[in-house]
Amino acid sequence: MTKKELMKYAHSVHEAINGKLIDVSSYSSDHPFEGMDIDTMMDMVNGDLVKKFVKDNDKEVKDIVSQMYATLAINTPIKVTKGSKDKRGMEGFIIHAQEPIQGSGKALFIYDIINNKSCIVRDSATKVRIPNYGERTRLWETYQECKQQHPYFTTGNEVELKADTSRKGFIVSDAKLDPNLNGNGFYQCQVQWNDHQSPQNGTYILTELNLVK
Amino acid sequence: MLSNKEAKKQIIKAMRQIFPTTLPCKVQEARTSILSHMGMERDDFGLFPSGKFKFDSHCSEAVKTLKATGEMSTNGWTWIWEGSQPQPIQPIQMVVQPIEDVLDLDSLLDVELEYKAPSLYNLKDEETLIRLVAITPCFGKVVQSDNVCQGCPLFELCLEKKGEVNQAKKEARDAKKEALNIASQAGYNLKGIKIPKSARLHEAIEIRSQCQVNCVVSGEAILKDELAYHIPSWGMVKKVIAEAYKAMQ
Repeated sequence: MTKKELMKYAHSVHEAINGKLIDVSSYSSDHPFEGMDIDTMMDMVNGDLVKKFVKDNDKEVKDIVSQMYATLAINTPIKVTKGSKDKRGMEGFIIHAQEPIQGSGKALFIYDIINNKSCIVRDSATKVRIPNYGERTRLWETYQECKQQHPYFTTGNEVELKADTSRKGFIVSDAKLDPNLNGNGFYQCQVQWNDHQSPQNGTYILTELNLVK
Repeated sequence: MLSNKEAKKQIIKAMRQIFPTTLPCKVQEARTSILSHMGMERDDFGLFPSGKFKFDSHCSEAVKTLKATGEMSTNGWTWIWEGSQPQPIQPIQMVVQPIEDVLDLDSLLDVELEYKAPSLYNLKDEETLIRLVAITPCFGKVVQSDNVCQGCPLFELCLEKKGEVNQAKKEARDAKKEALNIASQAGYNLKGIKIPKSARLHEAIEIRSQCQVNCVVSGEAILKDELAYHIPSWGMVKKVIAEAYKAMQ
């Protein structure tokens, strides 16, 4: 049974039992079954086959990302293994790579798309990792959204923080790409917050903010 | 209780009797052999107020005496006999005379001799038995002709267990055969079907299919509203097939 056949059969079994198809996540990058819930599939159809396809898929993804890491390509999923407490353990993507100001190797600009954190590390302080299912979809989405939305994020517009909508403030500089990243990275803007919480101002990528009409 | 003087005297006497044949040996062994020769215990000689045995002290005194006479010497904790060796004993001449065959050997052979291996464990104690079985990985795999098995304290229980296992296997085989026959009569040959390891046959549930789906075993269509079984981690199967598999469990 091929992977496609197995997926189709899993859907039909689920429908026969529950009257509907298996839920499919739209964040399906690197997913062995295009976003179909793996646990449900394990229950519906031959679990041995499901495991086999998951294993094959993970191996395939690992090969791809290892090749990307060999050239420190942009959007390679990596994990920071050395450095300060804040940096160590951080999982993100290479957003930009450049020659360091001093020393050997390359300086990497890392962005954690899930927690919206970033840092700069030397390449020797990182290792490649297998991205979580759907993580790369989220990465493409962020690029897209930032690109589409940047004309609307202009100085003087009111915004709120998505993670804490009680924080409201004003954009103090038009959305643009980070000039230090040579055209890479996400569109971002500076915000001055109205409340007196710390930090009172900061730079945010556009997907972290909502425009307040 | 013996007086100290008398005790020492008797110990020396015992030493002279047994040491020519038992020495050299270590202090403890020598003392034990003296006691067993005399048929006494250590505390028969009494105790000092400190709680120590007087016998040990008497032995030391006796050794001192024998060393002075040159009959004994010591090397560290080893006692050595230096005195005269005992005379070799003349072998006793035995005269064999024919006797009447009063003993009926045939009757002895008729008696069924049952050999029971001595056991360190009290197998009547349930807890001991459970523990012993738990630390015996071969339990239930007895080979009756094997000498090692015959000497095992669990031999009989092991035979019993093996019998049970064999019986269970036989029953399973029969059930499987019957189930295969039933399926075969319904037109399904399940002999060549490979059941995935992950399949949870015992958790199979009967459902009324809400749409058309294929049977994972026969490939036939299970129509909408048809009663069929879902075997978790395998798929949907026709009712007859599922019942056959259930019977095999």
